[in-house]
Amino acid sequence: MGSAERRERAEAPQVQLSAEILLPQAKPARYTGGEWNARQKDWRAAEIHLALAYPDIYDVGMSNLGFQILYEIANDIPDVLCDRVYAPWVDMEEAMRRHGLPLYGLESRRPLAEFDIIGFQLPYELNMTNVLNMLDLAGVPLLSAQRDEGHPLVIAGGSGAYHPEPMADFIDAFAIGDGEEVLVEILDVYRAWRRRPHRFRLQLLEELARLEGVYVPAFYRPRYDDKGRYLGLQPVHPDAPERVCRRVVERLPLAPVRPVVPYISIVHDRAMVEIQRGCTQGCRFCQAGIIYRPVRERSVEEICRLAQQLIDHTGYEELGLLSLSSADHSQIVEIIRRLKAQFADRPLSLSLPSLRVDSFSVELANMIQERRRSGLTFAPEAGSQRLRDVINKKVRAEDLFQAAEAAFQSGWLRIKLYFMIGLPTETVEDVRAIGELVREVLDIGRRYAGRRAQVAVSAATFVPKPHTPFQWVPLVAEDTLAEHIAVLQDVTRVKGVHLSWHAPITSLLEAALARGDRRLGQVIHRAWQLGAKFDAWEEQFRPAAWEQAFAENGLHPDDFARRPLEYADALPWDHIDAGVTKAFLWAEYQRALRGETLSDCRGVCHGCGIRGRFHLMACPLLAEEPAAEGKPA
Amino acid sequence: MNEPSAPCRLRVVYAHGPQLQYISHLDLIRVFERAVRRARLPLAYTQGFNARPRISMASPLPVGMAGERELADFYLTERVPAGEFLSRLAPQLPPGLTLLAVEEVPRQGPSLASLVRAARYRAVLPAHYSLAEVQQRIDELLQQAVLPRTRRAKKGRPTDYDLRPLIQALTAEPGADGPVVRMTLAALPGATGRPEEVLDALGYPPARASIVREEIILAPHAEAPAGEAGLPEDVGEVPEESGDFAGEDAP
Repeated sequence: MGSAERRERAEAPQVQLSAEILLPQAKPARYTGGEWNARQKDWRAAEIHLALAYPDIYDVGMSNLGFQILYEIANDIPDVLCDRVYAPWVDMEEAMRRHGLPLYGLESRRPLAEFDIIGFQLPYELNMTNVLNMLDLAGVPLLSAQRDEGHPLVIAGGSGAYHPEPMADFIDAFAIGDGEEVLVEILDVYRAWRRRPHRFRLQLLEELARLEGVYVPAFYRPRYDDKGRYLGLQPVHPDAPERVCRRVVERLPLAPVRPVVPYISIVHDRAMVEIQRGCTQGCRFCQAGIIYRPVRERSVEEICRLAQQLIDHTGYEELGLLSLSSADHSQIVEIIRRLKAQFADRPLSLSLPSLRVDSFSVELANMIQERRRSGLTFAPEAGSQRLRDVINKKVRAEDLFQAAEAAFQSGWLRIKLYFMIGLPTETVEDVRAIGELVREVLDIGRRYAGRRAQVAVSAATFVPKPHTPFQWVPLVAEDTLAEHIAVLQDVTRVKGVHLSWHAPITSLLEAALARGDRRLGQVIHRAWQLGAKFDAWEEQFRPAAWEQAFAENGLHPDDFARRPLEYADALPWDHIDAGVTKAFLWAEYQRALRGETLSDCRGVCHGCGIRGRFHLMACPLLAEEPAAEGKPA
Repeated sequence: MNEPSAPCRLRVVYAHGPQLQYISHLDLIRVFERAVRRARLPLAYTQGFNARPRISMASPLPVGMAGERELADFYLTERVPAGEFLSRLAPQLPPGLTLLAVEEVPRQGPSLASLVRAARYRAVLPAHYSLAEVQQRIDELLQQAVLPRTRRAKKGRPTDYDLRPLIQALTAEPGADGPVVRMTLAALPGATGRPEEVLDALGYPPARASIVREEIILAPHAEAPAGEAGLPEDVGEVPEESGDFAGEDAP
């Protein structure tokens, strides 16, 4: 396209937000930007305009560390203007459509269609319709094939990009894996392309496809047999590699120290330091445990330095030490000790999400929470030892009881326990065992806290996820699930125990989208046309729209969610190389069926493939030599 | 609010600009708290499990409104000269918050909120409204002995009250962007006049007007705090909180 058109686009007027539109909104400050540390760059001076987009509301998207990381990296490039956009809640969407307001970047207030690149973060299956809705609100054609040189490039990353096929029709290029480096490379490719006198979109896609970790779906054609079974993807372009290998940054890059501080309260309203990426526990249901390998620890020095800058630049009153399993960091006691000393002069609370189920974790929790000991959360995930062995959750009942004992003894009053229902090989007996665990924990609590002791039980339906040992497992049958939930309700009907469970109605869709192939694109598109959006929000979920969308395309969610798969079957994410071999995942699945566990790989390498794939000298990549048996003070 | 841990109480006059008009009262306290922490000023906190910053606002600013001379008291754990407080806090405030003045006040005195008596507002109406008609409607309204209104509460039952005695002054004048309505409204516990209600009573949709709170009027220093002093008779019961805590029960 000509440069004249580009100039015209760059001078498109800002979106005007009137009180009439904003005042009736539940939280108008979701839509006005201007927060502390938000970057204000000159629109005309920037060569590349990037809109980072999160397909859920501001409150959720602003809590996402990955989003803040990329925002800071992109804005630190002088000629790049990076703005943010989140899915408007239904009230705002209605007002925007009524007033003909396009979706816009929060700071620049420029319509999203005026940006060069829209980069979606895909955290989760049930956000997919929101991506379509946001593109539609932006006035950008939904289908990649409908977009030309005059439209923004639409890219996507995040954990959802590891099984990209359902969104392949809508996204021009997916970035797989750690985004810190590949985002910069994508921007470099885009800049070089933009400077050419004659630009064709095909060239841009070709150059992107040559980048390590970038998947351009237009260069692949799916094949099916006559029964509609997926046979695999065929590269149809010379630049398209057979498999796209995810990106890994070997040394954890410095974390953002000037994150945007929201005005309104959001889901996780705190400063965040990623103390470790990856996890060595090896839980067989956990996708994050595979796709963030290898474990990369951040050093104590670096954590303390980043924490200082973060708190100085944000004024936050809480600091979250983030990782998939915080107690696993080899220096965790030292980290907490140092941070407490460092911030002794001001009230600052530390938080440790994702604690292990053991008394060591309770000691850590006691270290960081000296006064307000209200609730601690543990995730035994399954009730019986047999089933915990199947899922490789290396927690014994004694560990849980010791943790509960330590917790109630040191003044905690409420313990929350996470379980999954519908796990592979699960029987009614396994579910009954949850009741026994819960009652024992409550009894322990009663001994220390009397009737003030409480146990909260939270149960979610197990959804098989790609790139895990359970990727071959079908979603639990509906009647089995209903039976197991009834048993769970029965065995937890105890005074002092509160049960909540995630409505299984969305689990079928989640599983279908997680395990689905490219044919789901039309289903998602149709469901969105029929009003589906915010599918993860129970009150917004429209099962009828999805049912109709599947039916009109001659498909059923069970075709994907409950299709039993074998090792030889082509999986719709086989072309995405997460670094762990399929053979390892299959062996793990077989061990699961035999009830065999596999130890934490900090001690011994089990050969998952990640070391070889990325030529790692060491794995896990520890920050320091492990100290002599650290014990909390 | 006179715990011994806070030997220093500073009264801050600040402007709350239109950039921040969509954040709620509770959000604003958090904005100040974080700014004070960034400035490394020794902010005092309440005792107890849920330590809250000891920042007291004179009167919550309704969502959608800017304020030209807002008031807040900050309690500190150490004495900080007013000028130093201002110069350290100012650069840590987001665009939309401007410090105008800081003075030390007796830490034992009555709470800031209990000193509030009234507030002055300015509402700019759309340019196509005629000033003469605005004036006429004002005259008619002021002639009424009572102005029965119903306040729709977010929670609880609607309340009936009389707006008339809450209006202390109401005038109109020409303005560059449209007719300007100026009003002084009582702001006492249980009797707070709201400018949107006055506009609505005049027959103008409040959403179309741009409303600014110009000043919060405190009781003279000598006057005893709180109480019903100065209240007109037969004042209807009006919910105390005039801030729209927008979105607290949003998804």
